[in-house]
Amino acid sequence: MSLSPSTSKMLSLKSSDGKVLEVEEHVAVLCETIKSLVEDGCADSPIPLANVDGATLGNVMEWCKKHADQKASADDLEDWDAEFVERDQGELYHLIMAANYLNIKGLLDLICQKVADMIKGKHPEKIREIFNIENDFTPEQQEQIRKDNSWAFE
Amino acid sequence: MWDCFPPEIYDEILQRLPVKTLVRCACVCKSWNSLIKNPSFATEHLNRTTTSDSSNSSSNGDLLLLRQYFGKNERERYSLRRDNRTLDEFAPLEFPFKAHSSNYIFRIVGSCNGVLCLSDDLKVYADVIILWNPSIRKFVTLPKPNVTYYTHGPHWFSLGFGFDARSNDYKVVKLLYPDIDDDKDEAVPEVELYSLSTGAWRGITPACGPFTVHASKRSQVFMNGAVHWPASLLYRDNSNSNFILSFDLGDEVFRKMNLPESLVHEKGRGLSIVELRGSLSVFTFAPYGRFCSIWVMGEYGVSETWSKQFTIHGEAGFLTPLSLRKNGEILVATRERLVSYHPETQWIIGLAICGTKDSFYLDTYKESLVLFEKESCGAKRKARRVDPGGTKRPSELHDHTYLSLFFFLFSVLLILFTLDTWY
Repeated sequence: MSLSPSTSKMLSLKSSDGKVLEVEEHVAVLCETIKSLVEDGCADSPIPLANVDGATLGNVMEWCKKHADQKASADDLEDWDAEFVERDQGELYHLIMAANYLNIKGLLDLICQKVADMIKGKHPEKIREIFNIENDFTPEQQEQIRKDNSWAFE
Repeated sequence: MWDCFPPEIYDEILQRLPVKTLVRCACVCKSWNSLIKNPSFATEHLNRTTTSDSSNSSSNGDLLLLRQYFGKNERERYSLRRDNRTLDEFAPLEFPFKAHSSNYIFRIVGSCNGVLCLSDDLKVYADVIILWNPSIRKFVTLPKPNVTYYTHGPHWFSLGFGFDARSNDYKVVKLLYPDIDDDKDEAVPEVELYSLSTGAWRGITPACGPFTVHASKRSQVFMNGAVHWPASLLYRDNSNSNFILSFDLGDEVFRKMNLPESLVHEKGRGLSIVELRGSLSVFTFAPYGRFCSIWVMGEYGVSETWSKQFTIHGEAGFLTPLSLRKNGEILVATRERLVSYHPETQWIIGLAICGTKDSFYLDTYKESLVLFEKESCGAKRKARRVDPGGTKRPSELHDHTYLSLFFFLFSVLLILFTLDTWY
């Protein structure tokens, strides 16, 4: 089966909140999950994506569309990506979950790098705050880890 | 919200962080702590930094680790250097150990994945071997090998250090040749192997039969999963034949590699081995010569691909090639300083980096989390404990003694001065 842009066949994707999005097949197949459905011939009816809401699906497909564009240069894509990740934490979270579910390595790498940049150089308290993680160490354990690695907290 | 992430996503994010942030992240919660302290995390993190560094070389890539030593009563000095024209210092590294002999230094066996293997054997049979990761300030002191001066008397030995990717383990191999004065052709070494994961030495029977090798104690190269030493067979008629001995840390088998034909019977100061930008290389000095020649093995393991690539002219007998730079120049240690040699113009550019003869060490460096799970902190406390039997000369004690003495003299002078002005 040919997946080139020239076919420009449309696929409909249905989000968890019931929104249906019409997307060109050569764009949608950047999602490995969708690609295998297409290859197996199971992509005729609207494809239900139970784990992705409509807004996030829109964002994901926007990214796929840009990256499916063969005319886009590497520099162009880099600049575009840098703007694409300028989002609030909630959107980034949903994008990571969607990229993981739809198996889009490029997008997952991009967002994970963005989140890594957000916590780079931060102290544990701040990182816990960002990720809403509970500190399950006892004060003694906490103290010991800090003492053992005091240089990293200077 | 973020706490609903599947663990592999956290892994994806954390793998992208520099070691300092990761050490902090280990303090965030128990699950992150055990994720980051898992040795396989350190290995994956290294693979990622290896691949991403090239695209990011302007910031942190291409750092070199340099060891200098300025002579008696000085401490050896470690620093990270940028690979630029003047090899500018990027950051100093805190060195927490002191060699047994107070006016000497450790031998650096080699480095691998951000870990240096140090052996305190330049002046004594110290049997103190330390694996040290300067980027996270962790170290492991190896237990004493089973075969030592106390069990075998005077001997000659070689060490090798590297990483076994198959078992995700770091290993140190020791070849010990008893009877160094014995005029035998056949010298079968005792072989011991230390594994970081088991924390113990075990004996190995060399699988390739009695190999008649006097491996050089001076240099080793770890690459392609194996440790390599220049070695030679000595015959009764005083002739010799040289080759490269390799020991694969995965299958734990010794192998022999051929040298270029013209080096097989080379004598004089002998052969040394060095890795130049991923290629196995050997260098040799012309007898009484004022130059050293470097041979590079183009394709690893294929002896037909040896070629003589560089000849460096300089001070007789004191040229040790250390590293091939990005710009194609070779960093060479001379008697007391570091120089950069340009192979095409044959120019030697002096660098403002000094040190005593044979004390320089230089290698590419990458920060890593290897050893992070080890309980080696309180570094100085442990470093003292590793002092081998006999004279114990804790470094701190030394420093403190000098410090106290200094303050005492200073106080005396101050009192004298006060009294003097008083009256």
